[in-house]
Amino acid sequence: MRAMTYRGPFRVRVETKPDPEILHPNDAIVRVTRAAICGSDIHLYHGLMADTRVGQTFGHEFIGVVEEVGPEVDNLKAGDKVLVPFNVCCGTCYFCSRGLYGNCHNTNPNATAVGGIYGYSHTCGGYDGGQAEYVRVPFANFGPTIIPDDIDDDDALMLTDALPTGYHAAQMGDIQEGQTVVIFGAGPVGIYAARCAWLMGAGRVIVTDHLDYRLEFVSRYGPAETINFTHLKDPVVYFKKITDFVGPDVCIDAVGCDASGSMLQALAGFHLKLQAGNAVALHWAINSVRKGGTVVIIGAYGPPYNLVPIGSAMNKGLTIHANQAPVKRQLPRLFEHIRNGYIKPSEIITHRFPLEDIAEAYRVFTSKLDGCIKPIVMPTAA
Amino acid sequence: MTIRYEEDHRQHSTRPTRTTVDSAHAKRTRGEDPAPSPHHEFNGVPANYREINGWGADLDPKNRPSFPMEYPSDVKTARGPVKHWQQPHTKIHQSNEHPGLTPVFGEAVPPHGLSGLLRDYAYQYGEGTTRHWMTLMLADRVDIVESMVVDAFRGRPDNYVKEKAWSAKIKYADAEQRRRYLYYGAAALGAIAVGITLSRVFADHED
Ligand SMILES: NC(=O)c1ccc[n+]([C@@H]2O[C@H](COP(=O)([O-])OP(=O)(O)OC[C@H]3O[C@@H](n4cnc5c(N)ncnc54)[C@H](O)[C@@H]3O)[C@@H](O)[C@H]2O)c1
Ligand SMILES: [Zn+2]
Ligand SMILES: [Zn+2]
Repeated sequence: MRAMTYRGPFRVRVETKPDPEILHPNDAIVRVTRAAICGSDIHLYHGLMADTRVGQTFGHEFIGVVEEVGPEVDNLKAGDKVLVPFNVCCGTCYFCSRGLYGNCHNTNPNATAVGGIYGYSHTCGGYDGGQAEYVRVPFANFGPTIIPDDIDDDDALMLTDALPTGYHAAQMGDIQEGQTVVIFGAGPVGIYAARCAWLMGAGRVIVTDHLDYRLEFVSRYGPAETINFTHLKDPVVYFKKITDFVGPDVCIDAVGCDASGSMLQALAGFHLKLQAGNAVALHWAINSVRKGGTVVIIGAYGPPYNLVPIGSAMNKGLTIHANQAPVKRQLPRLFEHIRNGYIKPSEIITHRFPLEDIAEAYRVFTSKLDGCIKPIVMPTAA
Repeated sequence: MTIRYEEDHRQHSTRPTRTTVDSAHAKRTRGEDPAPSPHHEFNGVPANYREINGWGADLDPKNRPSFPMEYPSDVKTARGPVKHWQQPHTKIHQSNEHPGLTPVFGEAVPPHGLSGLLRDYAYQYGEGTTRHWMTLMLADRVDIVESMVVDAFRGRPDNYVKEKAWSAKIKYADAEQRRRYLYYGAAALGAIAVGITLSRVFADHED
């Protein structure tokens, strides 16, 4: 099969690889019809995630058609159209049985700190991902979800990660009616978080980024108030000022370790590798939020550690909520929201590339060229 | 003296009431915006947030699918019930915080060469140690060089221009970026021209 492979920081190519095989009675093989590139893939692409091996196929956002199932898979059959949540999870371990599907203990031998994720380094289980023609899907009885007839393919693709993650971010904010929510990052996750914050009853939603085209998009799609942080001397002081010096109730970090906005953080994170990337957005979030408020970390940071003002988090009495989104749990509610017309996930898709041009897709997405918000790749001729 | 407790003393929000919302909006329309930055945009946000499509659909925590975060469960062991175990075909590295392999795992890229040895070393240390993660980061860098050499011998050498998709930088550049490329191009041509001229001059002197 043809599959994207990692070559080193900023370099990917398409190669011919052996087709995946069933390796466990609960496995399925899925023929990919659409895959997306996620902001998380940028961290891999930049070489920020430990144990990212040359030759791995990335891609944890994909939908497709079931080609083959293992003998123990009884709720899927060849020909079913499925969306596959990005979490590889068993559904029955200590953590899955409690609904923590993003924290499965049975799918990642390489680490206990993170569950299994498709195409996301060996630190996340060493699975090949969906930016390919075929993928092996473990615990197929549990993860993959048949796409309902009234949900279109592009929407279904956004339901594998980006939308449930944005929704989860808003949900983890424990938003109460009328509260002020500040979202750092106007990427797909931040954009969806802004939309979903209203569904949770927010009274004011503000998004900050340094890319005007993304701010312009979220101002309509959220809707949201927007502010380009490069125009601010000190974003933290700014967020205090516009909330009558109380501070926002909820701050959501939807940026993660590839942030820009602090030379010191970038030096320590990108150049010296003394911390896992650049944590300036989280730094701002902790400092901006009001005392007793909630900080949500949905942006991804690699191990081992980051420079953040944890002392202020204590002194301010903050609640910090963070997790990989348990995608499967959000799906039924998100299907309803799509049907009710509360959200149209596919509207953020800006670019489509054939799999063979995936190096271009990565470049356009990571360098934020051509007004790119969300690029998808089409592996098969289908 | 008695202390009187307000009925609801918690401050729920920095913008809790209809009145605050309306007055904030009125302030903005009067130009007395509490947000002093001229770059702060309010496009598209209605004065009353309740008018937003879908507003409050999940205000009730019962409608929030991950509330509470954890379901009750009587599974007491880390793995829970496991029926089948995947058999490894290659060496699978394992965190020393796991008692053994997990029921399933990926086999994307088996460890190899010097980077493989570094990974062996890294996995001897726990996930709480810097040595574990920093050795893996080092191994990743070694892997890149090793793979470059090995794949060159296999007839699949790296093509930096294509793999980095420099073409996209030009194809999808906006007007400003194009202008910048033009300047770089002009500067490069200028440098070449100067170089040629100088080499001619020196060549003339040698005569
Ligand atoms: N926890 C999860 O389940 C989960 C799932 C998916 C993605 N993520 C993470 O969410 C993050 C965002 O993903 P995405 O797909 O939206 O990525 P993205 O790269 O498209 O978006 C990030 C945005 O943040 C902006 N930004 C950079 N520095 C900033 C700063 N200092 N302040 C404010 N904004 C800044 C960038 O310009 C960009 O628009 C990533 O870190 C990704 O790994 C987490
Ligand atoms: Zn993702
Ligand atoms: Zn599990």
